[in-house]
Amino acid sequence: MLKKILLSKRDYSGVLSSLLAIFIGLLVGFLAMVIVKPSAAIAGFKTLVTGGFFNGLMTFGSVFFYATPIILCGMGDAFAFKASIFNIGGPGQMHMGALAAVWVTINIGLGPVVSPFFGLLAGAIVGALWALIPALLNAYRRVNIIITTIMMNYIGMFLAVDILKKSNIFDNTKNQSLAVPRPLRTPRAGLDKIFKGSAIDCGIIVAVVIAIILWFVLEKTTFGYEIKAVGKNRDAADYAGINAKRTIVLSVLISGALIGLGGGFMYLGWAGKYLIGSNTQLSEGFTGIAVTMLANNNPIACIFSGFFLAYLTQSGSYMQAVGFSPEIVKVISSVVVYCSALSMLVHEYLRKKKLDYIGREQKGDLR
Amino acid sequence: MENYAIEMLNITKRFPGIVANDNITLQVKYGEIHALLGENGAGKSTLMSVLFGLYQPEEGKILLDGQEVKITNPKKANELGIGMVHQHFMQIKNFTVLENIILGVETTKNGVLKMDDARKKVVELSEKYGLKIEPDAMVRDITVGQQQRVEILKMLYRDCKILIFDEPTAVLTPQEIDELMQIMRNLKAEGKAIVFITHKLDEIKAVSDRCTVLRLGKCIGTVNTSDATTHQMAEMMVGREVNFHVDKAPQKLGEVVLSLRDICLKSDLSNKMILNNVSFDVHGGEILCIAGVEGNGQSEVVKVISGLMEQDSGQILLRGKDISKESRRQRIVEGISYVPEDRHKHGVILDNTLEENLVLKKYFLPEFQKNGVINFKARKELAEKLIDEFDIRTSEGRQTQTRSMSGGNQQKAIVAREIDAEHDVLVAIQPTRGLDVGAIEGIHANLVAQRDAGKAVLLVSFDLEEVMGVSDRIIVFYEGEVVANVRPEEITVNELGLYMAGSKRQ
Repeated sequence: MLKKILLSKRDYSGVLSSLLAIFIGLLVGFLAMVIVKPSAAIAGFKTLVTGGFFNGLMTFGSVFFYATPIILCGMGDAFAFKASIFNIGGPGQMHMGALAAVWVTINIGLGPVVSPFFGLLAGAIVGALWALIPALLNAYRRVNIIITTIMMNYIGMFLAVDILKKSNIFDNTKNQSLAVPRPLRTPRAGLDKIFKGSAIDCGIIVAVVIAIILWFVLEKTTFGYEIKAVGKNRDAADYAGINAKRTIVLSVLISGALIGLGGGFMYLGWAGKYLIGSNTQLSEGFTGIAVTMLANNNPIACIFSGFFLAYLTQSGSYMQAVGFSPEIVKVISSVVVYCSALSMLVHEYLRKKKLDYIGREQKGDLR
Repeated sequence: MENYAIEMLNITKRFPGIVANDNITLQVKYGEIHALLGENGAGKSTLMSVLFGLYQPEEGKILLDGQEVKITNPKKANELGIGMVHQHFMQIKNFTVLENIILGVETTKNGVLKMDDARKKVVELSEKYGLKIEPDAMVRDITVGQQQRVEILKMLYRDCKILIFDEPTAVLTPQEIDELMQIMRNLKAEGKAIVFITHKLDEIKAVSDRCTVLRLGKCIGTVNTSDATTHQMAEMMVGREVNFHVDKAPQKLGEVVLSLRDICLKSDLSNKMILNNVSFDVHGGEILCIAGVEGNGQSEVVKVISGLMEQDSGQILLRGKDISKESRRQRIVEGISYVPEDRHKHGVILDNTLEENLVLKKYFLPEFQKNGVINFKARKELAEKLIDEFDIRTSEGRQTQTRSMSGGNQQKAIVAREIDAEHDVLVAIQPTRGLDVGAIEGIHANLVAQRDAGKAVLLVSFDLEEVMGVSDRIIVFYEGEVVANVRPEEITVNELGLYMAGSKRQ
């Protein structure tokens, strides 16, 4: 079976290693439950697997809502990673983007659909701008972008909270942003008719469309060719006359824009999420890294991995019903992420295995 | 039965699409220098990797002193007394020579380093084998030749009996090569078994006792070096007669195509001038060779011409037009082709396919893209044309991962790409470094064909034979200055050596 998959023409080893990571993650989660409370472990695991349908399609629809920002964020990280750039500035870019999105949507006064459109656009632009500074420092001064993006996360968080508190979208009594008026929230594209009562909106459609566009850009355009050339060998790209600095800045800008857009969808939607007036980083910005790792940096695969992690989170909120704390899900998702980080090893193992199969099958000289 | 130190019997190792080693047998005695000869991709490296425990063979066995052994990893190989001097040294630059030699097998007492014993042993070994070193010098400060001696001492310090030299002369000057040969003879006299990988036939002739020839993964045979001529060995290696002489038609000198005017470049680190008022012209229909010892500004002058580095002052003229401020891309479009020195760093993107690498300088041209969308058909046709025309051999055609190709074929791909690009000037720096005679012959023929087609060819080479054989005119670099401008028929190799060493100038 393994042999057949490995020897098939397409390379499935990436998918296999991600699936393996998920399997190990679920297994460890189950073992944790067995250790904590053996009597409820089976029920707990059942909730974990079926929790996304706890209240039928209503719950399932909301999984799409929670998946949207982390998918966008994951695709953003994946895109930068194609140019060998680790953008771990997700939380900061998301925070700034979300603030801009909420502020513009409430204040621009252009009515339904148009207001949130410009709000989301503002979120993307501000997210990109927040990524611009580390991008420029990296491209032109070769400053380590991991360090600068981490610093920008804190700066972004403090700045966003500070601006929020001084702005007209701040509700002092609740210490959070004002609720976005219902007509100005993200359009739902009729999806709420299917998933009645859920928080689903058009975000998931936008994410899928963007994933396809990103795939096209990376695989079919000269810009994608340049990004990958710079990512694989910056010196050779320079030698070939590719403007590596420009390419790096552009890829990080696009990355920041996607992450900012994710922030916009998170706070303009129907789940009742508010920007709060205390210093907390948006953890979804980090989850994006997990999404892209599990997806092997493939934008299309980010949809599935983002959905999977959102599903787990959703299930987690029902774990208390069977006597587990929702944090059990964090155990599972962190194991999954660890394993996907190790998927390089799995990948390498599968590649060797493939070579072995080929070596054994091959008779005679093929030269 | 003879007593062999190491025997590799009927080794077969397969990779996807390729049988790297096909039933190869190699037997080496103590007190013998055994040359392993073969083209790039003939399977020498694979065979040695098997011996060194990096790969496991599918078939065959390895005997050490007549006992079968399983070598599962390089550490095991070391324990069995097999040592290897790699082409690229594994050294820590800001450790001393002594520290590098004992690294990993430090002598300690209660966890505290005891360097004295180690120093004594190292000094003894270096005297015994004539390996002159300074134990306390930093590795970053010593020459490549000395670094190589450090590598050899590392093996001796670990009491290796079987020593593998992987193309050790590729990085050395002629004098250093002579010294290395003497060291190898000393090692042989002390009863070590030596495997000497190379494709330089005169070196084999000079130092080795026997020679095993590989071609396309197969063992062609083992000969006593004294019984075979270099021509015979070359024929065994390549499988056909080899032309050592570069055939050239009479020169048809054209207009000046590329001129450098007073190029100066200052070092970032010190006040030293890397290039000091360098001026020269290259004509169409001419191969101009820059000769000199490595590190006298040749790499930099080429980078300045191609636009990878910016000069501090001076002008570069292409057909009379000043291009000194133009970007790399502009220079490519205007006709400067460039075969870079470091294939893996600049020449190819190893994790791309061959096709993606062949189109690297052209992907942005209108025929290969429309509004930024790649024209895959045109790209495929280009790749297939070049693979065919330049005889680039691969396992999976244009879709081959470049990393899996042999060095010679990677270089062929680069040369193909650079010649295929619209150009007036072809700049090539060390284009034949590390290649075998067959591949060298091909690349020289390519260069000459460019010259005959009226292009200006600028060749940088550290190999005097190549300089004398290929060039129409020679300029010599010494400490960033042009110290001689001569025609090859007017000068002897010895005289050229004097210019290169800086003891003579025009």
